[in-house]
Parts: sequence; structure tokens; C-alpha cells
Amino acid sequence: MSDRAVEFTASLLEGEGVTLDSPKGKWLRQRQLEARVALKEQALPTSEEEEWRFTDLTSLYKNTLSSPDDRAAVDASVVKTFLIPEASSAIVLVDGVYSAELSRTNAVKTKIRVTDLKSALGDERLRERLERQLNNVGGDGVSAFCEMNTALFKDIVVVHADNRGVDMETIHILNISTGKHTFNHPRLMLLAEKQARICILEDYLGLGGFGYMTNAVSELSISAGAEVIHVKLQRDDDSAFHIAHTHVGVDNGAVYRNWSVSVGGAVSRHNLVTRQREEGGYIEIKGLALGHDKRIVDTHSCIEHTKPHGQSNQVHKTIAGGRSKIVFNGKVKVHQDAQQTNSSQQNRNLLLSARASVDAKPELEIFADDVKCAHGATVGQVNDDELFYLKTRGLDDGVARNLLNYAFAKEVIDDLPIKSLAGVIESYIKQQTRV
Amino acid sequence: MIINNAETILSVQELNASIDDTQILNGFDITVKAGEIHAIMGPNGSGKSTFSKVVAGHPSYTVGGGTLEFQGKNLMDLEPDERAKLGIFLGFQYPVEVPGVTNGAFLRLAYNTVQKARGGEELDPLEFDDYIQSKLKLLDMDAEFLERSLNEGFSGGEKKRNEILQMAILEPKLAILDETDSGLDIDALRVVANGVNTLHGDNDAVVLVTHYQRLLNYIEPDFIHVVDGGRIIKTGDKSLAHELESRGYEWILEENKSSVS
Repeated sequence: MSDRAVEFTASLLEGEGVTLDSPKGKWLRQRQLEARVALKEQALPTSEEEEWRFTDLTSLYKNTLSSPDDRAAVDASVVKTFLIPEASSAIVLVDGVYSAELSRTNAVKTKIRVTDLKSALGDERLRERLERQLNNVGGDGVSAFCEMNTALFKDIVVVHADNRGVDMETIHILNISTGKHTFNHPRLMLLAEKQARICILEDYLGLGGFGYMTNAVSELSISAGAEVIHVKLQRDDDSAFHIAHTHVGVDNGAVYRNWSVSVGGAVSRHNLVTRQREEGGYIEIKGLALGHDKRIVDTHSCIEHTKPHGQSNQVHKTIAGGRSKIVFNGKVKVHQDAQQTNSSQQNRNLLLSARASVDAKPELEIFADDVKCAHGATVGQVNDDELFYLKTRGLDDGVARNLLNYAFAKEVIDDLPIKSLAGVIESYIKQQTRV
Repeated sequence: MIINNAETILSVQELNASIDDTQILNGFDITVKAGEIHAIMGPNGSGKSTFSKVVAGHPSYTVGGGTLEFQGKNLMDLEPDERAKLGIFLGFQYPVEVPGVTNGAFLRLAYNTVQKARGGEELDPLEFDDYIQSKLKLLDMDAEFLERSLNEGFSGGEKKRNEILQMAILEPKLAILDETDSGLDIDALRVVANGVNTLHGDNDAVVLVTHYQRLLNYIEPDFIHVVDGGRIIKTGDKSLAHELESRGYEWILEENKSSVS
């Protein structure tokens, strides 16, 4: 444990968690306290730990970050430009705190509730669900950052979907950072009841923010037969640190489809842990990470099959340009009971520059004997035959390479259900894959 | 059609080319003039496909000697895209699939790039959409083709039609079509051949690289060249194709060997 990591951990813990003074939140304050104690035992990780071997956080730990108390005013008209037309509700958080002013909810006509922590605690059924699921959605991959979020979150965005039999609805959760060298710990809990159908966009960006750290935890508990589409778009400021944990539990026959797109930040790390908790179920994960300049983009995913007849399909693509560093660790774990699991994982990395690097590590742990698990990982450069073909049509070398990089990345989002977002992501791809 | 005093489009003399230290072209000579259709035939591995790639500027081949001129201009130091802008088109035997790039957007990008280089007018998406309709019709292609990813999941026939569609919009002075007939059923072959015949005129030239005589029933060549060992060993008119069809290549190869020795 390095002194720097310990000091940094201690400095963050000077901040406070939930300030809510309600007896219904007592259990919550207790949890926050426990997390705080745990962090005194185990500080935030360094690259000496196996799980963080390729991602050096020294550049984070040498900062002195503060709580974003003086919030800059955010222009509603600017926020509006980031909202998507598909969303029935948009929840806007500024530096980790819910802004009623900037948010718009349309909960009257639907059976999807989006609430803050205070209202969730006021609803006995929701409070009970929350207490049971918080930090308990399941799976490995809990790191000290997750603990830090638990100790320090100030609010929870609770999305409760109980809308069986009606059309899919889209909720946009927009996390805006305005702070300079500040930290925030956004927390999201999605509870999808049986046969519910919901699409959420978890979106992170900086508006005037600089050198800030976002340390997010999102938990999604998906009950039997439900279908959840979850798009995470990390487009934080190029100077930002983005650490995120996504924990997903999938019940009997439920469907979870995730798109995780990282196009921002100086250093980012996404731990995406999905756990098939009951029989059947389908997990699909599509990842896209773009590295340019000196960016570090680290994705650690884990798909855990614990029961029979589960299916999972993962495609993770990355482009490493400039001096960027891309890390992918993709674990697929099939427990002994999980017979007849059908799982496939594909990781493709495109290296654009001699000074960029890719560390790719697929990890299969299979304890059942009757399963189908396919996996493949490649690191390559632009294909010469493709390049020649485009050049014979008049495209010069730079244009042809751009087009191929763009096409490589774009494939991941071709079937993105939020159509308006595809164009947004495409423009990031175009900007960041330019040769 | 052979036209008297026509402009020389392509002039190749004593061309040598190699890949990974293996010499493939070995003293290749050919002169192609405006208005003409040439067929380059030969057994597998004779170097006919290499010839087409070398003219288009494939970076894997090293030219060791000889001359390669297009309308009197030395091609040797030009990139493939510069050659395309001058008016050289290569129709691929195996067109490359590029998932993620829509065919329509790609065609417009190629069209505008080449137009710009030639001092022509660039088209916006709507104008291009109008422009391409007649070309699609020529190749019996549905507009739905434009929405699909470039060549991805196209059948053999669709890929080859798409090649000729590209030829149609790039308006080359010299179109080299490498094994355009392979993988085509008879209906697709007719459509493709009709496309080439319609696009070809007195001011441009076509070189067909083919293993089989079948294509030549639909696109009538003025010259037929037989390639072996990386050079042209026999040149004749259309009747040579029929002779090859009935007798195969062996007799020419034998004839050539005896004349050399």
C-alpha cells in the first residue's frame, strides 16, 4: 500500500455521505459507516494489486481533490443540447447531486418511477427493496472505489420499473461535472420488476469541470422475464478521472443488454460485473473504448453464470491511438451448476500508433462440463487489403484509414436501440480516430 | 473497337515486378489505346492478376524495372489514389467487405474525391441520390444496396455489380476488370457485361483479366493476350479465345517453349 494512496483515501474520507435525518435511513447511515471503517483497513488500490496492474493511478493520487460545494450554475439551454429525444424522463445530476430544476420527469402516465433517496425511503416497498439490494446485486469485482462510493454517496437515483406489458421506456441519467479538482460519487439503483421493460442511458460529461474524479456505482437488479437495455456513455472531460462500477443481477429468463462506450477522461476504469442469478437469461455486452493522446482506458468485465441454460454474448472493441493505453480484462466464469451455458466473447483491438499499447486478457473459468464457451482476442493494425481497395477508389491514405477506423468502431453501435445517440457517438468516433 | 491514330492510354514495356522476393512479372509488354478492349488470359499463377494490381499500385509489389505509363505519364511513383484520380480503375476479383461503412456514403465520397481532383463538381447527398439512380438501373440494382454496408454480406453477383457501379461513377479512362466473371451466374454475367459495354466508349479502354473464355461471349475484345511466366507469350484477335476454349492453354505454352529453345 503506497503512502500516496493512503493519504488520498484519507483525504476523500473527510467528506460526508448522506445527510438525511430520517429514522428510515438509519440502516443506510450504518452502511456508510461500515464502508468508511473498511476503507481505513484497505485504501484505494495501486498498480501493485493484480487487478490494477496495468492502470497506474499515481496521477490521480497526487491530486488534492475537494468536495464540490460551490456549484457553478449550469445553463439549462446547454444541458438541453445533451438530452435525447427518446427519453421520457431526464434526470440531471450536477457534481453528483440531483437537480430538480434541470431534470424533467414524466412519471404520471407510466409505471416507471424515478426518485431520489428521500422519496424512495418514504415508500415502504421500495425502501425494503433498496435495503436488500444495495451492495448485494451480486458478483465479484467490488473494489475499494466501490466501498468509497458507498461511504460517500449523498443521494441515490432510484429507478423502479414495474411496467409489465407496456412499451419500453427510456430514461436518461445525465451526470454533469462542473468542479475543478473535485470529486463526486454518483449512485444509481435500478430495480426492474418481473417482465418490466426499460432502457436507461447513464451519461457522464464535464461542463467546465477540470481534473475532477467521478467515482460511480450503478446497481441493476433484473427480475424474471424483465428486459433491461443499459447504455453507459463516458464522455468526461479529457482531464477527468472516471472510475465506475456496474453490478448487474439477472434473474430467470431476463434479458440484459449493455453498451459501454468510453470516449472521454484522462484515466478511466469500468468494472462491469454481470451475474446470472437464476436459470436461463441472456446477457449481451458491447464495449467500445477509444484511446487517444495519453488517455488510459481500462475495462474489467466479468460475466458470471451460476445456473443452467444461461446465454451471454460479449463484443469489446478498442482503438489505441497516440500514446494511449488500453486495458481489457474479460472474465467469463461458469459455475459447476451452470450446465448448458452458451457464452461467447470477442475482443478486437486496433492499434494505430507505435507508442500506444493494448493489454488484453480474456479469462475463462469454467467449472461445468456441458457448456459452449467461445472466445477470441486480437490486436491488429489496419488491414492492407482494405486500405488498398479504398485507395483504388480515389481516397487518399489518411481518409481511407479514418474510414476504416471509424467503421471498426461503429460496428459496435450499429444496433444501438437509442437511435439519436448513435449519431452522437459517431461524431466522437470521427473526432478521435482521425489519423 | 480499334480506332486509327487513337490515343495511347496504357503503355507497359519490359515490366518486372516481385512480391516477397519472388519475381512474378517478367518482361511484361502491352499497349492499350483508346476505344479498345483487351482480354488478358492465362493459366492460374501466370501473373495476370499481379499485372492488374501493379498497374493499380498495390504496395505489396515491388517494381524492379521497365516502364509503366498512363497517357504518357509515368505511374511508378504514384499512390493508388493518385492513379485512380488520373482515371485508372481496378475491378477486384474479391471486393473487400467493409462493415460499418454504408455503400451509398462510400460511393459519394469516392465520387466527390475523384471529381474534385479532376476539377468537376461535387454533389451533396440529395444530388448524388438523383445522379446514381440511372447507374443503379444500368446494373439492375435496387436502391436498397446503398443503405447496406460496403460489400458486407453481398452475394458474389452483388459484389461484382457493385464493382461495375463504382466504375460507372468513377468514369475511368482505363478499367481493368480482374476476374469479373468469376462467381457469376448467367443472368448476373449478362447484367455485368451489359454494364461494361454501355460504359465503354471511344475515349476509354477496358482490360479484362480472365481465366475463362465465357465472359468474352458477352464483352467482345479487340485483342486477346495469353500470359505465362509473367509475360505475354501470344497475342491474337477474338478467334484466339475460341481456340483456347477448345484446346486449352497447353498448346500455346508448348509452342512458346519450343520457340524460346
